[in-house]
Amino acid sequence: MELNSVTDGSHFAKPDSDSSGDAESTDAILVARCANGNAAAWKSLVDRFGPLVYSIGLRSGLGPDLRDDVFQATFLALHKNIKSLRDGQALAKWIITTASRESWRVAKAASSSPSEAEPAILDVQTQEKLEEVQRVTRAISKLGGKCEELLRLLFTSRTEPDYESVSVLLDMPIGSIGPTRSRCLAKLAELLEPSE
Amino acid sequence: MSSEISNEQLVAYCLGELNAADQAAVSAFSESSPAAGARIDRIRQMIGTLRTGLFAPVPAATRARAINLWEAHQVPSLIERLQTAVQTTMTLMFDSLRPGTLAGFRGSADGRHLSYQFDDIEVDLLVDATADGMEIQGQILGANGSHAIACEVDSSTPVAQSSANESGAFHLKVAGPGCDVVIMTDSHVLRLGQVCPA
Repeated sequence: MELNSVTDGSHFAKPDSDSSGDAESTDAILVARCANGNAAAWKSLVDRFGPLVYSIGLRSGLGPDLRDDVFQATFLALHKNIKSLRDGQALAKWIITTASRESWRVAKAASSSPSEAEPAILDVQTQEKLEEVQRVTRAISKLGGKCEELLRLLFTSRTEPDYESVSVLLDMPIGSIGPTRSRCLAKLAELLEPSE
Repeated sequence: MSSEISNEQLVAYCLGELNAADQAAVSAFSESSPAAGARIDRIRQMIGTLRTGLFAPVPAATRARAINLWEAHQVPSLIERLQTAVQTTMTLMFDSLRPGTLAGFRGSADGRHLSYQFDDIEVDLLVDATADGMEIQGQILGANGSHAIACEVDSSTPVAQSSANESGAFHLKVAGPGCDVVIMTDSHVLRLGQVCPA
């Protein structure tokens, strides 16, 4: 159980509150700002897509050091190519493809050859699944407050933590965790509903 | 069951947390309403995504390194700047030691005044002899961005280097009788031919 490590702010990144106004910006706007040399927009991009990149290393079965390598290599590639990425709509796809290729390359270099199920080029289904992970991650960030804390705690551990631990960590009565979780998931579903 | 069914009820239904009667009612309702059925599918997909185990928190050190990539790669290296910049020799517009210059300038105790120009960029130098060479105080006007300055005796050997402050002013101490002053702006490499105190 990784509860303590999940909530330990000294080890895991909690994105800073965004005072640059980038929190609501579209990917395309963030990319354009980065291309114009805006450091705050770069930070927002790292926070917006970092969990996705990290999850791709995790999905490939890489250890923490190699996941870090994939993370840095992917963002370095993004930095180098930011001026050619004006189509913000395609950013998630670009990042998924790049991070997957870096995961494959890093795994190969570390001689722990990736399994046949983890090719450098992802199939459409996996690509869509990872894009969905990014949409949900972004929606959780938009929830903010107790809901964001609770859902991160419940779903960023390999195994769902028991309610007693959640109660202690979030200072919530055990009896309110279930209803709060349902309420938060309902809000999350609303955020994810396709716009008419 | 109401025709308006909340997401909260649908989530509870998808998680199997409703009592048997409500569970059956939502199930019947979803079968009769394609819209409700679609919402249930989306909620199930969302819960399935959350349970993929792919929501790993990013370690703070990993995030910080990626953010710092910005600073580390933002300033182009001197080599990159040399490769992409317009290279030119600036035109000497004024020299206080040139014959015909007013005596007050030529004999000034302030040293030798030199003024150069290229397009809208101007560079003023005041060159003083020292025991082992010379001292140059200068100012770059009309050029944007950061400026690196070097004194070269040939094209590959800087004998002194400096950078300009926010006013474009710089200061060089050079051992030796003279050198080419080379100024690198964001867009130009400007060469000021053979600068010496006399």
